[in-house]
Amino acid sequence: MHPSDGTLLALLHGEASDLPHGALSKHVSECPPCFQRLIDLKKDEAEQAVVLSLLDLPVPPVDAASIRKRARRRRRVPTLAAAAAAAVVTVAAAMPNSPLRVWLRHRDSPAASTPGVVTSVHPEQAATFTIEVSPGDEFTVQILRSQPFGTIRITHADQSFVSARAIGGVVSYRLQPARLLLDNRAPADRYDITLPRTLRGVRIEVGRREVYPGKSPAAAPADTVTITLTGNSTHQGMQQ
Amino acid sequence: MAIESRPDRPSTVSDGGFEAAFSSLFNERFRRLFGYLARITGDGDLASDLAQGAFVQLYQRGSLPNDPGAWLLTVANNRLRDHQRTGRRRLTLLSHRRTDVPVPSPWQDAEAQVQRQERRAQVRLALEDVSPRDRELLLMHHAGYSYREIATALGVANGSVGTLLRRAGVAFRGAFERRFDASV
Repeated sequence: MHPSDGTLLALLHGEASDLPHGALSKHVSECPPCFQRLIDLKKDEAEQAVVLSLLDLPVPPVDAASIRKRARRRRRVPTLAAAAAAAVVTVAAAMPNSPLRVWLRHRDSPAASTPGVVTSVHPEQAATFTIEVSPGDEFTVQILRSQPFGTIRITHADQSFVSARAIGGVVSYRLQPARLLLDNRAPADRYDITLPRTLRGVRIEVGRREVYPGKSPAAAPADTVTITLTGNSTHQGMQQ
Repeated sequence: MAIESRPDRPSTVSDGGFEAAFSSLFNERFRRLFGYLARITGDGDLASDLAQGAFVQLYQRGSLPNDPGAWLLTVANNRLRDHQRTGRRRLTLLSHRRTDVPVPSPWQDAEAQVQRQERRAQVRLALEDVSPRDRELLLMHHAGYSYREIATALGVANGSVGTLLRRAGVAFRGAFERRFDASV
């Protein structure tokens, strides 16, 4: 059985570690057609390298210190903006009959929860997003872009809202009917998703892949599921 | 409604260990990341912005991920796709901008320069004919990224990178020959 071109290419690049390397090298050295293919692939590769090097551009004079400066500058602006926003919110909350005061009163009322409407966002935690849902609903949490690494921890809890939290990365949250979208512009290291036990069905998607199928929470009333994302595959672990 | 999460910021931001590791990573990886982005965008300024943005994001993260090379490549690639989607700046893959052209060496004669520019334009056109994933694969590999880093950045299995690279190489050669009736 002769190795494929892809396997020979991996051998050429020293990346055939998943394969029986010694056996592969031995076969190629003893098989004239495979040896010839390897030489042809090497020639192709060298030609590609020369052609693609035509696209090279001069590297800009940037150093690590300038990156640090940029990073600190960017961090300071949101901090100032957050401080200003906090001051405005504090003043508004203190004013009697201000719209914010009215909304807070309404939110604290037990009858105020409306399915599918954001009821609270915790700015002090920043990465936690909460949404009220009704018993018997179906709900989908979709991480929009592929996540080549990281974990998703799913917890079923006695609560009436779905909460999601991204740790690491840059993730923004959007809400659609019965669906929470997490736009992971930079992949997060971990996602903590807590779901009410009363939901009828739950689906977690990463990119276009479903990594957690809808299931009846009643079948596993207190489980925590950890999904490990590796390349294109997932591994699921469950704790009762 | 949208809010943006920020990474948990461990104390490592001010940690000398992180600072030293960041500097070392920057020195080791910036050139490679810029090289990949410059080839795929054809725009030195844009490539520099994207590469620096990825490093800024890594610094703000405050700690190094398990595979920093793959992380940087993934972030830069996502930023590039965002850029292409939103069209904030026009991608110049097919253009012939003067800024795309490295400063010629003084001993190169004018004819050689013209030939080089024509050849560069041909390569860009041929690359444009292959699928975005093939283009990214090919350019990541030729920028020096390992199979593991490529697999992570593109969300494909590590064991399939060799086969995908071969297909991408064949597609690129085919595109070049179809367009210009000449071999790579």
